[in-house]
Amino acid sequence: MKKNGIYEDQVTDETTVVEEAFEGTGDIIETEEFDDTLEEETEESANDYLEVSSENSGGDQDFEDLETPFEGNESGTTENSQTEEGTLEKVSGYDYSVLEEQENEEEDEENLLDAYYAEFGDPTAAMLMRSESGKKMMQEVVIGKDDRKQIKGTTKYPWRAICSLRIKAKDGTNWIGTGFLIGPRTVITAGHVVYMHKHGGWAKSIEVIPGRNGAKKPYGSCKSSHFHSVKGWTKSKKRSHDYGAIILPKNCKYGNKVGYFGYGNYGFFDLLGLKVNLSGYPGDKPAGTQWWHARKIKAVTSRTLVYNIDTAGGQSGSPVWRIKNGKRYAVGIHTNGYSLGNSATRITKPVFKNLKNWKNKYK
Amino acid sequence: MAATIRGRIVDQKSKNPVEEAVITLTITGMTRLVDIAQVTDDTGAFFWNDLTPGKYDILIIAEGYANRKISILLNTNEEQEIFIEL
Repeated sequence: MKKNGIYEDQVTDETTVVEEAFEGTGDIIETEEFDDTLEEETEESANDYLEVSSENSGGDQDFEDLETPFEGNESGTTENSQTEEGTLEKVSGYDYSVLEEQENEEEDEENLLDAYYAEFGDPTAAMLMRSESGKKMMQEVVIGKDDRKQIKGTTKYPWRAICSLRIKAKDGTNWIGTGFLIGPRTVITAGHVVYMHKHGGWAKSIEVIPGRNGAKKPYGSCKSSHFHSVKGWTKSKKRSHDYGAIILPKNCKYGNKVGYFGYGNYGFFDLLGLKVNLSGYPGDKPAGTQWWHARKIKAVTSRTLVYNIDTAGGQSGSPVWRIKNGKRYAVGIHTNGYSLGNSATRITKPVFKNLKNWKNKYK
Repeated sequence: MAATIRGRIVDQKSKNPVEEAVITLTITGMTRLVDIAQVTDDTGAFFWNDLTPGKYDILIIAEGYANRKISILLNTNEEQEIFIEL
């Protein structure tokens, strides 16, 4: 639905998750359809439970739930290998053995994760984690160590498909964040990057800088004021709905040059314990430098992923991805730091459909 | 309930504003914080609202200056002003 040519709302899938878009300055309009309620969440949790059946737990998702990546037209500049485990990038100097370590943390990790699940009202996951098999799985994914690595070759894929963001909020404040390309001109990021509730709502503009390396902007930058998110974030400010998209101008199809990530809707058992990558532009490191880290996913709720990958302010919107058959698939969108574990918005079926819609609509 | 920080960063010697300083917050305890960082404007100012009360570490990174970390305690509904010289 369009009004004044500024905002639009549309139903994107059968679960009636409503997305919102912003293409400049204007007033927010109310939508008639918004079913993203707690009741819906409960239904989705139940659906997640169905996904963990033995028939689905061991294999790939349906093909339709995977969107393939593209490595760009820049030849010979792709990271050409991955680790033995197959899901991680191979980053020089990183001690991958830490992913296997059973670290003795002072806090009772199991109880903390119970608290996490309780907070998200995810009874299915909480019940699963209390079972013996669940406890065993959880114990196997307790990790934690700060050993981020700087990515210096940011003109290689996939690093160049990760973008440093300079955000101008509507109230005049300036922020930094991270995003990643999933299409020629679609950049995915956190919802709180494109829509800041206490700083004026929709951002005034965002400068997108793919493959930034300090002061170097190897592909230049593009500004945009065209954003998407979902009502669960913009209206309800639900952490579980914290994701959005920046649509680049038509003359700025970065994705065709630098490539873009694929993404997938993976099931509970595919994700729990999966070794994943996260790379972005943290504010606690020299300005504009990209930093990577990897860990196992230690908890999965119906809409979030939790891990001990180290992050800092500025990394909101970073891709959380796996490698599968040599291709990069995002499984989450990093949003939060938290003492129970940093976390991402999980790419569930509704999120997947919105991402696909935002990608296909703007080519 | 939410608390606010209003800050200004200046050069210690010249007293000129430090523009483009990157501010990151971390909070002690069981509070979730969005992973976004703020950048000072041309007056060296930054403004962060909607914060959960608690003890925060504020890290300031600015080109040409040593990194600086300060801690503050934010109370409920408090608007705290801080002035930092680098």
